[in-house]
Amino acid sequence: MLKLPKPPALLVSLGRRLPPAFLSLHFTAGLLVARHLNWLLPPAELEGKRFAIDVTDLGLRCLFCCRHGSFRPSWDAQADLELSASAADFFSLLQGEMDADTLFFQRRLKISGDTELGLMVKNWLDATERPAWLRHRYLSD
Amino acid sequence: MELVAPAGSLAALKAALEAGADAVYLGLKNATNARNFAGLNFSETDICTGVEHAHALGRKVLFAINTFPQPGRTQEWRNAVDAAHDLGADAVILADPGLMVYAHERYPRMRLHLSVQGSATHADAIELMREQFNIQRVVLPRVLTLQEIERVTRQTQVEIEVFGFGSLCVMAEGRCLLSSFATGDSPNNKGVCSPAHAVRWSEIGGQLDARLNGILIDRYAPGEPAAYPTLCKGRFEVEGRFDHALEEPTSLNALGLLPRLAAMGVKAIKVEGRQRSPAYVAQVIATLRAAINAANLAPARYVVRPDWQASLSRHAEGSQTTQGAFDRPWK
Repeated sequence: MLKLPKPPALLVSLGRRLPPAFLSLHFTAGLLVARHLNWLLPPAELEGKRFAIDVTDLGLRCLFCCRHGSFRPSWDAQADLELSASAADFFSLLQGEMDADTLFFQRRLKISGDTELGLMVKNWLDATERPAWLRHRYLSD
Repeated sequence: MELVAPAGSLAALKAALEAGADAVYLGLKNATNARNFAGLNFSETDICTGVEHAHALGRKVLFAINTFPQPGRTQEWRNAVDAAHDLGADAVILADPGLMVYAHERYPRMRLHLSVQGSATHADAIELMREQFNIQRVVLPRVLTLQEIERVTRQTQVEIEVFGFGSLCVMAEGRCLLSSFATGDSPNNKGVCSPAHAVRWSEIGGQLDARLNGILIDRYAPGEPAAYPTLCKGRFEVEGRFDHALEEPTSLNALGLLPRLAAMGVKAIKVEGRQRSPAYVAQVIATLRAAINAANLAPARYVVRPDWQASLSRHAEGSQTTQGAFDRPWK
């Protein structure tokens, strides 16, 4: 398993000082790039929903929503689904290398809000095959 | 022994085959199978691709249609049997005898497996299903000890499949209505123990509360391993004591018993977890593949390698594993 180093204190304090809107814009831009590469095509059930991603060890919070099959930054502090984990755990989920239930059992992934929406997102990501450049070999750890 | 892997998506099916599964079991996106979760399971197009992929590798695809048809809605379950046949399933895993009649009469050459949900715990029940419907395999309920499994295996010509790894339930398999007391839904009519729409998690100051339809069913201390939000695994106050009233959340792990299961003639080892990710499937299946190969090669010298144990324990519900009913020296 790829181990990410603990984030340096400077980055953490920077993360806490950056305005959420600034982070959400960049995060959403990343999602849009993935969508344009035909890698992340959100299912209809995500339409109109607001999401919050909390990267706990970096102190980052990104808010975005799904409109017309596309991801947009959200200016609403409220979210329908909120997920929290460390940067390394989010990254291994993104790589398809870690099981969300395993992280949840170990209390490393937190979910609040609409659980059914959370399950929908999890199962959508699980069913999405990762592009080769992102895909970590499942069996290498 | 054959290794039977769960798949909740095409990606999981591919991961299972890549990791060395001999067969993969899957279900449609509806209440005809016991993992009817939001966004999970297969479209018919995905099944076609999956079956093609598995058959090209000489592996099998098993169709789980293992819930009980609801009054007036039998056709939905029959449609699932038709789909399994038309999409080239190598076998269907059924629980309901009424559905067995349909499958057996309509598709006499289709292989029938009796699901764990069918709750056949002794040879007479299994033999009856064979005589009536020509079932080829039975998945034994997880309440049986090794001695009981051995006896059943000797007394029937039906192939025996047992669980090797995965989340455990209270094992009133096929008849559990517990969750319907809180949500109105139960595994054997809706294919889900705790429907996600009824589940709410809230964490304040590290203390995690699990609520099912508003009812507090568990409260985890900061850092304490969590479990699936089912009533059976909740903690309640009973006669002044606050604890797991029915069972602790845990996963079955039969790694240590593989040579004994093979020696008694068990034909297949099943892994639970169609709701889990391709990463879980790949890691658990690769581990059991290595262990089964080792058990086949030199059963007398078989030892459970620490890295196998670690790989499985990592994915266990509540972060603990047990040999379950397999190992009950007092019985």
